[in-house]
Amino acid sequence: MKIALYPGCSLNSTAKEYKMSLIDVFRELAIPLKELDEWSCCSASAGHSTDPFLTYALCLRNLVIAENEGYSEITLPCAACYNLLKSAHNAIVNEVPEALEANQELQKIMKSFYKKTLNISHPLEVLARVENKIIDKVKNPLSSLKVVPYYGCLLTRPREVAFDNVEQPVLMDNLLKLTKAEVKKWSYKTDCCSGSLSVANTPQAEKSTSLLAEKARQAGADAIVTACPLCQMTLESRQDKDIQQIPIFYFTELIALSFSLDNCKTYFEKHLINPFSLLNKLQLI
Amino acid sequence: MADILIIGSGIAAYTSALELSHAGHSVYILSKEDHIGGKIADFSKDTNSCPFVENQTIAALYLGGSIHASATILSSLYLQVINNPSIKLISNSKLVSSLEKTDSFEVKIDLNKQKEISLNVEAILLAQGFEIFDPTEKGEYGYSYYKNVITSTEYEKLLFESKQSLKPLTRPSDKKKIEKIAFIQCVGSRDTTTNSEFCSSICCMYSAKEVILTKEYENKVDIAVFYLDLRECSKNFYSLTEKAQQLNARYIKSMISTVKEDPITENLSIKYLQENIIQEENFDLVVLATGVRANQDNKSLAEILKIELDEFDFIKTSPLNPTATNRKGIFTISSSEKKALEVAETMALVSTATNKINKFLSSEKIITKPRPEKENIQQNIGVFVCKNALNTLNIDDEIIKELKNIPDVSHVFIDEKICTPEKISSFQKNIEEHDLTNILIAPCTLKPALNMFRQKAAEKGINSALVDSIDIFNLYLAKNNDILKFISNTKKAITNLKNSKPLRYNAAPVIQKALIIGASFSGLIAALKLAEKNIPTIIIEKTDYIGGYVFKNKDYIFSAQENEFAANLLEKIKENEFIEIITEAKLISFKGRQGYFKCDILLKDQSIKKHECGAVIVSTGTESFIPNEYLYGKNSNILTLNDALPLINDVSFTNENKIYVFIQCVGSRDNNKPYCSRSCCLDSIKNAIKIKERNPETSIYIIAKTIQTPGQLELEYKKARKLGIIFIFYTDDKKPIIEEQNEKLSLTVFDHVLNKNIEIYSDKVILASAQIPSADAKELADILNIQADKYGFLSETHGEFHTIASPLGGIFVAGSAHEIKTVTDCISHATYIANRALRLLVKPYILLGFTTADVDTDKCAACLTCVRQCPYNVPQISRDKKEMGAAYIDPTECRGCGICTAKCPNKAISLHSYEDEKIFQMINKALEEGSYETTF
Repeated sequence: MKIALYPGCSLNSTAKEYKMSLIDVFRELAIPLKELDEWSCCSASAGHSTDPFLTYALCLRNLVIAENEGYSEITLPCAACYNLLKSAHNAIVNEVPEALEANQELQKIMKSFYKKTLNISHPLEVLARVENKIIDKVKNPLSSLKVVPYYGCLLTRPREVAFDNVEQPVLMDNLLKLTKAEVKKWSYKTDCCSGSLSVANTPQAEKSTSLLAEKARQAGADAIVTACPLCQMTLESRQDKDIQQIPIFYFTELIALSFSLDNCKTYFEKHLINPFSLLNKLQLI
Repeated sequence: MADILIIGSGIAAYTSALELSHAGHSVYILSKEDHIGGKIADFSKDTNSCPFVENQTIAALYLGGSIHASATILSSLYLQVINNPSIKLISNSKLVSSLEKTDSFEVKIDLNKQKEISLNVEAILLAQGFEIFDPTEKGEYGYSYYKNVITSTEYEKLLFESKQSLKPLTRPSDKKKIEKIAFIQCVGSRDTTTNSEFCSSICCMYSAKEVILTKEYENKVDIAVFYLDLRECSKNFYSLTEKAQQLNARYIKSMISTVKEDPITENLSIKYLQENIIQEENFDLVVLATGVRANQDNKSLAEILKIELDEFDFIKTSPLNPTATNRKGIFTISSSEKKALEVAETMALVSTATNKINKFLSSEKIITKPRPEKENIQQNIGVFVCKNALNTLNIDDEIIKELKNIPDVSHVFIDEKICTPEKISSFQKNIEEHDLTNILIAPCTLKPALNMFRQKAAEKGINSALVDSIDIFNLYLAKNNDILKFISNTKKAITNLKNSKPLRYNAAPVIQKALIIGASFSGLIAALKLAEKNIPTIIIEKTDYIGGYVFKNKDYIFSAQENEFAANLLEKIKENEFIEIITEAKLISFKGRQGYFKCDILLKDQSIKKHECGAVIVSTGTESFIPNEYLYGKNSNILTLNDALPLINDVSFTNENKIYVFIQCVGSRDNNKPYCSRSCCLDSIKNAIKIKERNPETSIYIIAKTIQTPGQLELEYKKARKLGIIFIFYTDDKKPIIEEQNEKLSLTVFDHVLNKNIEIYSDKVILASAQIPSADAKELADILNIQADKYGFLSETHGEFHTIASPLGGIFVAGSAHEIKTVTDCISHATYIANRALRLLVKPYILLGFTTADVDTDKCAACLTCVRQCPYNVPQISRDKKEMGAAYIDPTECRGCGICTAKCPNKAISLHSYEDEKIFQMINKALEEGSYETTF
């Protein structure tokens, strides 16, 4: 069964490498994936804080399209998109008035409404279902690479959208272990990076991000792995520039690397912090 | 008699089984464990071997305010239960189904997970207790992710094991010596995310206990306790946290949101707020004070028995009927209100439950077995030694030879687990077969085992003074596994035994009437319980008002249903022919002994009424403290909570948008009265909610030192905050200040969140002032010769297990006169006390005079020394023709203190069990044996 891919705005721009590596990995694992036709904004950046009705309407629109195109699952690589669409689904299930209102409006405009049939997932969940296939495809074990997984805030909060343990999630840890990378233990998996203050209060974002980088180093890691475009961007751009900065990967990039896929180099060229010196040193590329 | 099924494995199950068996019923205890369980000690390690000697990891847990190992108590209960023919212990089994019939239940039990058996029982008692929350669910604290984050239960074991092996405290990950510990309170309590918005009520106190035990063991350990509120409302609980702080534990009022682990050192780091500055500190060990949960079997039991559970799956009980479930014939020892019960509370509820069950079954038989005793011609001393005890000491069987060689010993028996039922019957057989007259037992640590052996020996005609024990465990503790020492101590014990005389019990008459002092709520409840057994009771009350604090305020603190209960109570009392209430009366003189007291009561018309009774219950309750601060009495808008309650009830009080301020702890929790007055937090909160719900536009502030809302009451506290009632916390050094300003009152208080003074222009200020013991309590205590503490609360003999009787026997304290209680607790406590009094009153006689002084009239010169020396005024110079001119000591009144014996210039008095001849023999033997310590 084909899974709909909702890229959101960042996967076509600042997180292009996330999209590329994700598509490459899914193709290698023969998981049928197709970008949702006519998808539109989910309001994660600014819209959602203005008006609940607007948020639900924008999210539900995409869910309606997916239903109408016959999908049973839609996967959202961006944690914010994932969080919002999942919340919209929950709001319909729990009969939140603004959500039901939005659904009714969509019926008027699109001649269709959201019927709660979709499984809304994050790619971490999808890949977690095919662990055995992943193991089979690993040709370039990343055993010399020490990493810590960073889940950020939106994948496990609020509880109603969490697909993993809220305080001690493990899905990304498990997937990374399949690549034979050494996943280090640390207490900062879901700690704040102050990403939402990245522009409004840059010094705070720098402070939080640098702390996370330091804790990653203390844990013995050479790199941090993320599952969200904003996490990756904030952690890359706000680290203390006066010291050796720690590279930030997407989990799909590392899986692709372990599969020895052709396009790996193109992903890493798009990073702000150059990961090549690390990868070369460890002879992984 | 009836068959009763008790489900449970701990102290409540075992104690209620014993109480019910004493009432003549036969009881099944259905336990899912295969060892005695529950929360006050941990016997889980040794399930197959002897549970008493070899279990070295007994940890005392969750005793709330008291600090002592409870393993002995549990072991003693277990021993009594397994040796009681009316109680059948069904271990390792569960209830499968129950079919309710007209007057009974047909229950099916999954026996040992092997087969199903069917039983017919007439009543079911649920005593399965609570469980402890597994904090893995609170991943932010890292339990089960970080090795050095442990639960309080695990910490108790760690502490116990270190003390047992005399080693320093070391932590789990690397066995490094622990130097810094952090305790985090409220883990899994007061928490929406884990569906536990209640307060678990025991954690503050068990943490304080753990802190004190740690500090007493290793003083240098730095301890920080992070808390939000300290729930220390029961008697003397505040003194525990006080002691912990005196021992330099740091109590920091700051909620901890997360614990971080240093991946290299495995130390834990905690961020907290102190005086508005964020601090970060590293610790070697973090102990999580985990909350309580309903027993995991509650859901299936609810399905099988069709009983109601509350929203947190605890068995639903009503505050006014704390042991009843919604089904007839099914009772419980649990509290929907409190969630977790302390031992004292459990004991009170056990009594309440058994009382209810006896009433329900309308059957109860007090069994008294006559004890014929043998006349001894020749002494035959038998020594019984427990092999399991010896094995712990690595003493081998050579010992039998050594023991047999002791002169005077006729038989030596060494066997395993001598306290179990099979071995007890061999014990009794041996007594008969070998015609034993004196018995020496060498059990393990079990002092209470001696009582049981005495009972069993008495069944075969041996007086209990002729049964003694020698404590092997003392030898073990002294780390000296020396056979010679053991034999030497045994010889001394034999000498003691040889020279012991049988105790003669005197049957003293009991006046089967009672006197209750104080017509308070508790007094009325107790009176009704006594009346159920047809005991004529007089209640004397110093005021002209019946019902005390509870009845005065019931319209404002009770629900409609509870009010009905109170009205019915009063009706029942007035109609009851066994109860007489005399108002405006006081006790002015009192003497006698348990079973026969002579009381002089001063009546309203100044005449004196003489009353004789067998037991006295003091239930003088409390009074309200009149504040001497905050302008009370100087401004009509400043009221006490008691003044305000009837006004708040009136709708017109809250019509306009006013600003109300409640000040809590007025006259409480300070240097003069450090105790908590218990009901004020809840009364203020309830009434604040009343006002706010009636008129949401009002502003209400509650200014408190702490908020005491244990258990389910926590939800009221949350409700108040949700409604927008603002709570501000103050300390004694920064008390709120009130000034009159035009029509309003300007109240200045230092807000602990804003970290600065704020001024509230209030319309009304309501002072929740302290409850103090009745002003006459101390005077009454003097008259009755019982103890009052410095605040006027009347004392009990033992914190947990004898929360009632004064050491003189026959005098009991019920309700808030003992310790300020909630209304629910008063009901169970008063029932408990009445039951204790009934034990004395149901028989027309009592056996007294165990260790008493005897006068040799030939030697007595009637010098009056003993008459003057006796603190209890017992000796009298007899005018009896036979004993003309000699002192007479009534054995039923003598307390056996020995003062007269020591003082008599002519040595005319001898004290039973301490006769001169015996003492000399023992001294000789001790000198003969050399310088080993005695174990008498």
